[in-house]
Amino acid sequence: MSVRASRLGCLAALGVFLGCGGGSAPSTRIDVDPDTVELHTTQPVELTFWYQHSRQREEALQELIAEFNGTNEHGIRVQGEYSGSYGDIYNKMMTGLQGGALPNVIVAYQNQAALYHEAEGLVDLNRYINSSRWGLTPAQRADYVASFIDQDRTADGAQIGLPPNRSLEIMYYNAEWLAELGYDKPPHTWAEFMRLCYLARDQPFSRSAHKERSLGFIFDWDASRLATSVFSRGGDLVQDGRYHFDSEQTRQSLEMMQQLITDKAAELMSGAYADQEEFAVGTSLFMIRSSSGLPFVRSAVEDGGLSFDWQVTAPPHAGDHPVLNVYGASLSVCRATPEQELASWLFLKWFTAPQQQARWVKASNYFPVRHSTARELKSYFEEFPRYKAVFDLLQYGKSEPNLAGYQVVRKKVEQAMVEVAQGADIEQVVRKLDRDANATLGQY
Amino acid sequence: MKTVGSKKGTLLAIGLACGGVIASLPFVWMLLASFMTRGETLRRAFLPGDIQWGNYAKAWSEEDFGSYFENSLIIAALQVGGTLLFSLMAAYPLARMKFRGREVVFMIILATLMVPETVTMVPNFLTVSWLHHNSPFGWINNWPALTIPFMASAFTIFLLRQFMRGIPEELWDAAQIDGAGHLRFLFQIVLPMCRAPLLTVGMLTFISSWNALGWPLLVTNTPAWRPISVALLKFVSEAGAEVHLQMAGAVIATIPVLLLYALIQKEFTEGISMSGLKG
Repeated sequence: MSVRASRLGCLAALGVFLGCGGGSAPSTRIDVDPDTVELHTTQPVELTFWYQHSRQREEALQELIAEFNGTNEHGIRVQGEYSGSYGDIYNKMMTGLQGGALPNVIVAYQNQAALYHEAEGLVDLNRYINSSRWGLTPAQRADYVASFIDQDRTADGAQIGLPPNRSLEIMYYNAEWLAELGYDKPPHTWAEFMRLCYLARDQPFSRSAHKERSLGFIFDWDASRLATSVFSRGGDLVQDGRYHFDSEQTRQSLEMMQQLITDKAAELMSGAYADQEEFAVGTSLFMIRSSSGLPFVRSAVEDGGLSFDWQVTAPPHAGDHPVLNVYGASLSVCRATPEQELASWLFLKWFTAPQQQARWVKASNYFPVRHSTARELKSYFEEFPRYKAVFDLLQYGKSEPNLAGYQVVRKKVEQAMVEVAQGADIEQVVRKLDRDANATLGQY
Repeated sequence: MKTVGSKKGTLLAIGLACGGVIASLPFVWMLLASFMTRGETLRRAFLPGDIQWGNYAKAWSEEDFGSYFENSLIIAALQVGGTLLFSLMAAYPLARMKFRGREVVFMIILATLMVPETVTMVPNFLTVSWLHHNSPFGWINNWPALTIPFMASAFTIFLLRQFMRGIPEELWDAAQIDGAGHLRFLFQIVLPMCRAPLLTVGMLTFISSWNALGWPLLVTNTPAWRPISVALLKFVSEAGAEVHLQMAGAVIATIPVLLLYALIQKEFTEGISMSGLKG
């Protein structure tokens, strides 16, 4: 075979391989008035929904999706797909934004959604919310907790997500151990909290099988934990559109962590969920975590074999009332065809309707985002008083920044926390963190 | 002299035994945890009380392990087959044929070893995504995206080339006298001689394919083609992990790798030593 012939052969093979074109081209951006978009049952719209839920929560979610698929009058078919953790979904989405392979509906934290929005990957839901044909009535709009909806709004007013649920960062405590230490109430202030941590270090829980190890608290190096501590002391992570880590509240939070760790009354987390495990077996008096973990803590305490009395409350605070970190991933709609975007919105609207909300809340233990859902949860509140106790704290919620670069800043916060736990100079760490965090502004 | 030698040997044996124990501890822990109750894993018990055989049945049935397992086997088989074929075809000219730029090509191939996998992930995804839209068959959510990008490996080309360079020139001369060309020489003479390095390459590729998680999560959205590593991930939820079930699943997932290694252990060791590589 001549060289020319072999080259022609290669080109032909390449042509067959690439040229036939079997897949569909990525959709292009068309901003159309939703009121003009028609959905026909004869041409069902298929949607892909990426989420992080697994096990029981996924089962409940799949049931809801199946119900939507079977009952919606437009023939919309949602395919719910487990896509790993929040981090995995973020990675998939960031790669997908470059490769043009996006889902239709995605679970995203506000700062992640802000980044997708900057990359022009998300739909501004205002068009759909305000649509006279497909949108929400004024009564329905007023039914959503305003502060939750606002979390998903960017500085330029775009609504880049709709919250399906929310959680609070709360304090879990071993009430039995607390009583052994001479207290009948959880600590109200951080000073009291520290005092109890020292007491717990010196006086292990009587029913603990590991009395040689006794701690007040286990610190997780997580930006949300720092935010909880800062918020509860009356501070904030952002001020006038800039990060505000160089604050008295950040210093106090980090000083407390360093002090307790140095004095062996607390430890830095040794692995994922280590705080939950230590709490469940009675070696740690307190734990600060998401309220959505209530059923997991319950089963962990039962499985841990001690079945002690544990309770939940707001983390200690400085002012008259507590301030709790309220968070939760929202559902965002990715850019697609007008029909897919509209169908995605209709799914979101259905999923956050009070009836579905009530079912989802019961299955997931998250908090609802609509006032009317709470009215449907009366029996659930009676059945799970701890859930009710935390639900009543929702009014004190405050959220973390929804700046596009916050995902990166979170990593810097976590690094700073580890450095402080290892004995670094707090003043230097705080200043560097503030500088580095603000350097990310405008980069995303 | 003999006493000194035997003392050295004993010390070496003790050192190796300690190393062996340390290396096998995670595996032993995985095995023990797979028989525990959730409470025992929470209490960080070292030994299970009552053996929980049910963990295996639960892990297998609750996350549809069978289908993930099957996917992993198919993906690994395709990847091993492809890697062996393409690496063999690439290593042969680099080892046995003389052409201009041979060393440069080899250096370029070797240089790709310096690029971390995370760096190549986005370009690979862009390529796969483009192919998905422009080729006769779908790549995303399908076996091509999971296997084809990994069918050419610089490391396996290097390993096979090292071995092929050691094949005596006389064999090629004799083959030429018998009228054989390069292709016939490769498949009839070189291939049977490469059994050990090929099995080594196959084993390493199998392990790499079996353990992959990040890439499969990126290019698949449904369970249709997802490997077993994704099923293991599902035992970790937002608020906690079911370690006992996850470890039972991990033991199940480890079995094929252990079986394969047991079958080709001799050739694997031989292949590594012949290539001049050290661990």
